[in-house]
Amino acid sequence: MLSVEQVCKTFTTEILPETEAGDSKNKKKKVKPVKTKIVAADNITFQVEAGDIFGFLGPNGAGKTTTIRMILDILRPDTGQITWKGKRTMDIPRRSFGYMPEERGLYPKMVVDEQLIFLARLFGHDKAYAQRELDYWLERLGIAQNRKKKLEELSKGNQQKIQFLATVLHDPEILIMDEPFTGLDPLNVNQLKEAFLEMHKRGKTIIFSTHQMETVEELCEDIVLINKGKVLLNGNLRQIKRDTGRTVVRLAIENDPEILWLDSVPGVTVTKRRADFVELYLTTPTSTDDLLRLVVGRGGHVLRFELAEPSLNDIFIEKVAGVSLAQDPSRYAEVAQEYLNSTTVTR
Amino acid sequence: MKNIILIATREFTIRVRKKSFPITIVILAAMLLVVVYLPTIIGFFAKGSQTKIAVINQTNQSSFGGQELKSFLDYSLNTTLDAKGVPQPAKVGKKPPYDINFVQPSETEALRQKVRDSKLDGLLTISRDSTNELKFDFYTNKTSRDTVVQRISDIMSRLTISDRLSRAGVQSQQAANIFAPAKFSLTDTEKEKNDKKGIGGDNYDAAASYGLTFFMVIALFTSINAFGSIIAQGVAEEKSNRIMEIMITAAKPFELLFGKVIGIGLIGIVSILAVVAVGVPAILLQSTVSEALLGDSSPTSFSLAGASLGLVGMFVVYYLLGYFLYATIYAGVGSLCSRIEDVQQALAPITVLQLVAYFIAIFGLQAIDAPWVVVASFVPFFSPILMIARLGIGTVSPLEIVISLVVTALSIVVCTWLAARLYKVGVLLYGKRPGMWQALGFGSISK
Repeated sequence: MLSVEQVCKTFTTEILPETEAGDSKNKKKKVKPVKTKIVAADNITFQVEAGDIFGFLGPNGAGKTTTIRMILDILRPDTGQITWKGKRTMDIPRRSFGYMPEERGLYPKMVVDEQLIFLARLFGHDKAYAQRELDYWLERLGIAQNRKKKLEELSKGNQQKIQFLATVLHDPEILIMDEPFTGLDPLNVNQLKEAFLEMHKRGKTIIFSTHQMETVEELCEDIVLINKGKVLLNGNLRQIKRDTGRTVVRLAIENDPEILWLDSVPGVTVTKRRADFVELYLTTPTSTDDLLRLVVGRGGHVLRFELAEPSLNDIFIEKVAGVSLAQDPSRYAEVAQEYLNSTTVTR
Repeated sequence: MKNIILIATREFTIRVRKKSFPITIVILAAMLLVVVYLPTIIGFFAKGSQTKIAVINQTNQSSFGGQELKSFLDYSLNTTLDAKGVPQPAKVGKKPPYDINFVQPSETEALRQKVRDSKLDGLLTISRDSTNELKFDFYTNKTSRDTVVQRISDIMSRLTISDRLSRAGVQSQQAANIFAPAKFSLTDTEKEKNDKKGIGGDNYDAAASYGLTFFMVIALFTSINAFGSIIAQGVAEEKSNRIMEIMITAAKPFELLFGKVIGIGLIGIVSILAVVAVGVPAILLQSTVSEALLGDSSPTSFSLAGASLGLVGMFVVYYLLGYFLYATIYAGVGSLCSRIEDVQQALAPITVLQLVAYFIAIFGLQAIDAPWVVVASFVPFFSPILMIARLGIGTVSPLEIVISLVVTALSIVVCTWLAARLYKVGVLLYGKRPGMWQALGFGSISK
């Protein structure tokens, strides 16, 4: 089990204060930078079970990379400790970890197989072992024909696969991947997911961060969500969804895409009106059976009546932005849009 | 340790495999060959060319103070002295350097035209003025500082003095005694020392050892500077393409630092060895080649006598120490840069430091035993280059060598410690480059 216990990390940087326009006195003086403290990790605690696929979530600037670097012992926490199977991570061999940083990086002018074998040897494996593993994985990901090419000659997708190999080739116990699926086409995403599951079958612990909540819902049993250095949510994903105490209904009726009469039903909050269905939250006094009866009684051809869990996406935005979809759908939509824009821009 | 070797091997092989590597070696070797063979090349082109001088004698005399004009000119201009100062007659079948022709005054205008057309090097007219003094006019297109003009002027002074002595009634035999060279002998301490050791001997050549020292000082400076910036750029490049994030999880920062420094240092050593492999035979064969081409060994030939094995050995020691001293700093500074474009600017302070050491060494060569040069040769950062200069042409006691080695070794330890500290912080920092002081952790900084 990987255990992160009450970890804190504060950075101090110097920021130039903004001078007020027209303030002539300030212009003459040399503007002194002001020391500012940035809390990157504020009492972060969570556990990852060995052999788990674990989602590490948070908006940009939440402190994910800092936390990951502390797990990898590239940075040391100010207080708190991080252990793997009872040993502090700074005391276990470096080959136990496989790390795929968010900013991809390998030697662009180096030949693929030389580069990967070099890295595996740095982690302490012998050449024969590295060669064997490499042969297997290149075949497995369908890129064997690229082994003698320079990295910069490969397509983006294939470069990403090589990056994945650089993470797993030394057979680490714990894989930590920052945004492993961004920038891949669906075919490559699938191949990479299969490789993920293979590592899972081999008993590896996989921690990955992503902004694609569907992927998290598909792969992860447990998650942690952090924002501004603090843990907002931690635990089993299904349990987290159940804990919201909400019932989500997706409804579609032929020739009535908007189903406007829903707004007048007590206990119903419409959250999304999409072309293919209308999504709503259901609370007392109306039960799902009541709603179904109402729909049938209204007449019309029911295309869809589906009970669903609240999506992780909604939970994420509610938690991070503090806007509830159920209480304020319009504000929620605004924030969601904003969030979506910011993540696509910074990525 | 294993990781240091792995990283060093990678740094070495990727650079050696580049197409530019053999090309650089070939260019360096070619440059060395040109330098070594320059005297031979100049000699080869000068061979067979003669300085043609026409002489018009308007004095009605063919002999001045017992000196017959034609043979006097011939002897003065065409006899070379060997290393011991004994005159050597011109070799049979070889054209003498000067071709002297006596002509009639009536040809003056035609000959002047020849001089103007560069078909004749000079027209010398000898006459007497109203006070019966000899008077010379040298019509030439050469400047007053040209060696030919200087030489003619010297010889004419001697002729004038002979003539004056003769007119004053001094016998020609007495005059010859007056002109006999002074008995002056020179013993310099370095030569004496080498004579005692039995090395160098008669072949010891101060000019050659000066040249060799100069060459070593330049080699030390340019090579450390060049390989240092290769290191700094390599580190910045690894940061900018983010491979560093993976490397830092695979190896410890000091392994990355030393692996890089050693790997690139090996390239420096290999290039120097390759150049030496070409250069040493070239220098050894130099007199043979020049004899074959020129028919005799050129008196300006560069001899290896100045380079004792000890000096070459010390050069290697100081080169390695100097390289390590600067290389770790270059790596540390490189680690502060997020982009390759920032590197040159960040390196400016080190480059200045090196330039100061270089200029002290170059000016120091003129006054190698001056107190300020001696003191500077014990200052960290200046020591390697200045000790090479002092060992090459000055006098250095064994104690001084020990002191400089200790000073340099200590500064290597301190600099490596600082550089490793910079490196550890620097490699993960992106964005604005922090100040050196901050990055070393003496100020506060995000790390």
